[in-house]
This record gives sequence, C-alpha cells and structure tokens, in this order.
Amino acid sequence: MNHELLGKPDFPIVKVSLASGESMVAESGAMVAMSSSVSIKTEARGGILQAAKRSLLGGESFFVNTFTAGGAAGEVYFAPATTGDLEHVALNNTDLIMSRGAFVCSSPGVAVDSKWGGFKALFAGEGLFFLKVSGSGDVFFSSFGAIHKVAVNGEYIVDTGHIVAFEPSLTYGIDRVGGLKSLFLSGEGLVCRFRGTGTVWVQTRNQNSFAAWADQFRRVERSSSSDD
Amino acid sequence: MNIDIKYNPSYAMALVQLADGEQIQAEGGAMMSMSANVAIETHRATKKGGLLKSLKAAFLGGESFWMNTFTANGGAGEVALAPTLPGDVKLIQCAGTLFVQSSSYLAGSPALEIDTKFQGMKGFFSGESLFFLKVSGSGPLLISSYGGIEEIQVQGEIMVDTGHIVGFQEGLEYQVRKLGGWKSFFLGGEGLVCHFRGSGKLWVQSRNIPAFTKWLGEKLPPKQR
Repeated sequence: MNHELLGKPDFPIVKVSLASGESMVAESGAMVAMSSSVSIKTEARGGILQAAKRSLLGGESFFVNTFTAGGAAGEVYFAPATTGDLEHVALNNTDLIMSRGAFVCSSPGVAVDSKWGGFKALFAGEGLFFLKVSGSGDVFFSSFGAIHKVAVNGEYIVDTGHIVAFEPSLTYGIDRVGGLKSLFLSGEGLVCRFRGTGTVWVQTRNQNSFAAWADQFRRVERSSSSDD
Repeated sequence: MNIDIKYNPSYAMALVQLADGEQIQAEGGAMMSMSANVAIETHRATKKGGLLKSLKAAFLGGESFWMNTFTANGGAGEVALAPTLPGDVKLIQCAGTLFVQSSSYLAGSPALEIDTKFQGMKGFFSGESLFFLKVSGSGPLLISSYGGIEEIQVQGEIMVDTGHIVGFQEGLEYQVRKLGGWKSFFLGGEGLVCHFRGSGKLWVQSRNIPAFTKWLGEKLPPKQR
C-alpha cells in the first residue's frame, strides 16, 4: 500500500493505492472516489459495544467502512469533513492520542479506541474522552485549519480547542491560563499544559469558537406555542 | 520581537517570538498555544482613557471588551496567535495612524493606542461592519481577514464594497455611498461602497463577512424564541 497526499495544506485529499487483497479502514463518509475493483464492507468494528464506545465517547462514527482491493490493484481517495489539513503518521507498535473526531482513515493494523481523559478533561470543553490510536500502520487525521507541529521539550501550553493529537510520551494537565480574571474574561478558557518530550499537533483554527461565532447568525423563529 | 506568519493565506497564524520581558497584546481568544514561561494578563481593550473608551470599543467596535497581554518571563518565549475565521493574517509595521475594521484586529505591540472611531450617519445603513478601531503609534500590528488580503496603494480614488474593507491609512478620506442608482442598490447585490480619496494604503479582503453570514444563516436551523 502506498499513499499520496494531494492539495496540501488547504483542501487536502489522500490517494491510497492498494495492491490486490490490501485494505484500508475509514470513517463513514470519508470516501471520495474509488476504483471499481475495490469493494466496501460496513461494520461496527470490534463489535457493537466497542463501536458504541468509540462513537458515543470518541466522537467517531459508529460504523466504519473497510475498502478492499479485490482481484486487481485499486485506488481509493479519502477526505475529511472539515476545511483544514490532513496529516499522516506511521505507527510502529506505538500509540497516538487524538482529539475527538480527528481520525479519518488507517490501514487495518491500527486500532481506534476511546480513551478516558480523566476528570480533568471534563473541564476541557472537548468532552471527557480522547481517541487512542494504536498498533502498526498508516494513520491519517484531520484538523480545522492548518496543522502546526510542535516538538515539546519541557513544558508547553495549548488552548484545549486547538489540540489535534499528541504522543503518549507527553503528560498533560488541564489548567487555567493566568489568574481568575483571565479564566473568566480572557476568552481563552482552559488550556492544556503538556510536559515531557514529544510531539503535539496543534490546529490553527478552533471549531468551538467558529461554531459560537456562526451561531449568532442563525435566524430567530417564534415558537408556535407563544401566544399571538 | 520576531513575528512569523505561517500557513497563509488560508489558515494563517502568527508565531510571535518574545525576548525576555517583551510583550504582545491580542484580542480575546486569539491565543492558540504558547511557551510555559509566557504569562497572560487580561485587561480592558483600551488601557488609556478608562472604562468608557473600552465600552465604546466593545459595543461600537464589535471588538471584545477584554484583551490579553502576553509577557515572556525569565527567558525568551513564543505565543501562537490565530483568528476565528478562515483567512489570512498580515503584519503591518504601524507608524502613525491607521483604521482597522473592528473584527480584523488580531494583535499588536502594547505601545499602540486603540480607540473607536464612530462612523456617524454616513455609515448608518451599512450596519456593524463599518466600525473601525483607530490604531496609533509605532510598532507591529497584526490584522486578519476573512479570505485573502490584498494591499492597494491608492492614488486618487477607489470604491470598495463595505464588507471587504480590512483597514486603511489615515491619509485617505472616505465616504459611504450607494454604488450606481437605486436599482443597482436594491437589485444589483452590491449595496454600499466606501469611496476612498487621497493617497495611502488600503487593505481589502477577498471574501465578505456579511455575505457569508447571510448565506450561513439560511443554512442553519432557526433559533426558537
């Protein structure tokens, strides 16, 4: 299997070339185009319970699709839903922690599970869970905005809404930024304080801020129950 | 201070390298990530001139009432700053006075003074988008756009759709008016334009926020009241 990332960094798409018998697992809706020699199988990977956990807690789809090249070699193109970058990481019996919804597709040797973020993550505005991606193979994940890769050595602070992924060699704590005044008024909310040595992938836009901004422009409709 | 604009033009961010003790001021919510030795202080948008000036900047300028000043302590440090909308970030070395459309202010040197310039009746029909922050002094200023930023060196006259203005230098006179006759105004989809006269730099953005929010508002489910 080999891949080519096209259209980086603004609107990337990944082209995966599969040899006969090779396959690729992707989030539902991620497939853009494929050869006719490729077949698709939809399943709740790892069983109903595992799939429910991954979708309810990890923000991923309940069903995932497995694309397999049949009698001949074939190609599949995958793209994320958000306007933003697509990044590739090759795992070799290693783990990667991702924020909810960041996973796009991987080779079948990679397992995706939800990871309890601890009570501290409850306050992070990102939900209680991260995704834990482990095993060996290629993984593709997406961001909202560009991906800024930071090699942490010591301590580094990231706004919780900007985290895409990080290596498990880093420990993290949810912290407020500055004093109490900053906590409530700075508009920065809570931050993640990473410690140790490892890579953090940070996205240059924040979907929560964008959604809050867009929400002001919703039309207002009077509910039918109001007296007229 | 060293400022590097990365990932432009679509999802630009500003990576600000501060020497020990150096500061950068940014709009609320702009901090994306930073070194652990950078301290944040939250204060009113306009430090000079008291509460009233800040209120004016917040309600008329559409800018957040609170701003943050980041300071590197005990060594050099970095702060990554990013706007909310997809688009570009541009670094301007401010020397003198310029006017920045309120939602386009991202960050700047704390030495720059910020005030709100009220548009008056001439901007009445154009709504909130035509409030400008008056930025004066000398130092780096970071402006952001929805879409890309084009710099236009005005010599004489130019008309700009009000939704596309990012900022302009003080030497330019401006007047808001309709483009063409009443038929064009109501049916041509162009609405109001800003007529600039004189010589100076003008920055325009390649997408229009009011046009986008109108389009978006139609797609989103309505709020129930």
